[in-house]
Amino acid sequence: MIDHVVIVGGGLGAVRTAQALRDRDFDGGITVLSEEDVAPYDRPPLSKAFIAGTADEADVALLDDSERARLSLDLRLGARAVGLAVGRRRVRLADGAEVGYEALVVATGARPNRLRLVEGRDDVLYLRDLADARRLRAALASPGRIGIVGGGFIGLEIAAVAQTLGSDVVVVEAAEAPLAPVLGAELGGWIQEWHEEHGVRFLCGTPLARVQDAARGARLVLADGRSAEVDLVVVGVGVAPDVAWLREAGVLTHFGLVVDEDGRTSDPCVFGVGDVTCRHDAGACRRSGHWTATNEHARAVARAIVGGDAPLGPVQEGYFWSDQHDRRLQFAGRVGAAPRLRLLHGAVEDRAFVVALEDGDDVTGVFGLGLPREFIKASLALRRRQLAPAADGG
Amino acid sequence: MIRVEIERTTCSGFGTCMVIADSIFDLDDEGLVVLKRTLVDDGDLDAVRQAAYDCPTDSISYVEGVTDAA
Repeated sequence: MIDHVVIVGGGLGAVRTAQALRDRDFDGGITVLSEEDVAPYDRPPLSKAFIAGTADEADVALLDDSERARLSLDLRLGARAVGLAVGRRRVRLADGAEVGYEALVVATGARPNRLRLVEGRDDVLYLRDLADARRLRAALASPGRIGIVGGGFIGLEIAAVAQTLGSDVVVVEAAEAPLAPVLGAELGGWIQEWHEEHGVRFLCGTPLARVQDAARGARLVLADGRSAEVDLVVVGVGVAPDVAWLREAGVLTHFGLVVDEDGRTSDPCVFGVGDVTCRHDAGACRRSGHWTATNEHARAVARAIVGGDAPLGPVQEGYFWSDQHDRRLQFAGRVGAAPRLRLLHGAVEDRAFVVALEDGDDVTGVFGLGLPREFIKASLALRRRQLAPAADGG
Repeated sequence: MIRVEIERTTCSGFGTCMVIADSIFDLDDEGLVVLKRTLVDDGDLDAVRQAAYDCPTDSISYVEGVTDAA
């Protein structure tokens, strides 16, 4: 019987793991080592309501008093794990202290990729944690010219908030359209048109070549010579987990900490949850990166540690959402190499629609913009394999 | 039995609960959560828990050990 679990990380994955352990009647000690100086909070609102000024710290907290009492955590803030001795089962912290464990759960998430082109500039922001979000919120409160590097979800969410708050926004994206690498170029193009209707400008299809001082602010210069002058640069060019300390300890890592379906790593006493992991099966590496998947990982790992019945399976495989302008984007499933889109509900020109993504004879996923109820119906049908492909011409 | 509770002021109509357990949760004409029934069997605990944890707006809670008459 394991009676002490140490969780490294202080976000959603850490909290959900602790909750899933207690739900399985685990009554041993749970130590949470968080490098942050604030209690666990939820990240999705940071790039939406929090920077818009409509949600505050209290609104993003993950634990209320009664849940904290139920979980009975030894929560250590400002405790950054930097080393691991798997033989002695000890975690080493940045201040030199060591913490012993019987089972270790790594839930440290991922960090934003840094953009070399803007290194050393003082007019550049990233968004990862609450401190970043406070800085961005303060900056967006005074409208200006905002240049966003990266047309992914974070970039588009920030673009929508900044535009709504009165800033003049330009998004720079190397792919042919925003979100093209995630959802395909056709859907990405529709999403771009919708943002353009709200006044957001795009410079797509060419990588950023350099960022130089302008008469006022910074000039973003693309490889094809197009450019934009801005007061503030916000970078959202993907994230990557920090797993060097685990690799040095001899635990198998790849893009992230390599785990199986149950969250087990190459070390029998070490487990992984959430964005820090990548799942290897059938020769494929699947990265994580979504809120709901982290919850599923936590339930699986708690079961691997404590035993008992298997948790309910993922109900919407590959589910994620994003809130931009006044609408919600939702996706479930996976995106094939060259997805064909088939309209299920609404109309593309109304910017309110649900489409099925098809790959050969397969319906691989469903995407919805601004029609949450219709999306849910399509998602349920996808899960029940009731979405026939368009082979019948339908 | 388990008593399921919802908070419609925070619900924003994700519908994740409905995907998890459409015998318990539904969305109304406004697109917000409604309960098909308030009391559910203990055997549904895993589904109710998952609906609560996976709700992005934290709008679902539950009380265990409730008797039918309560």
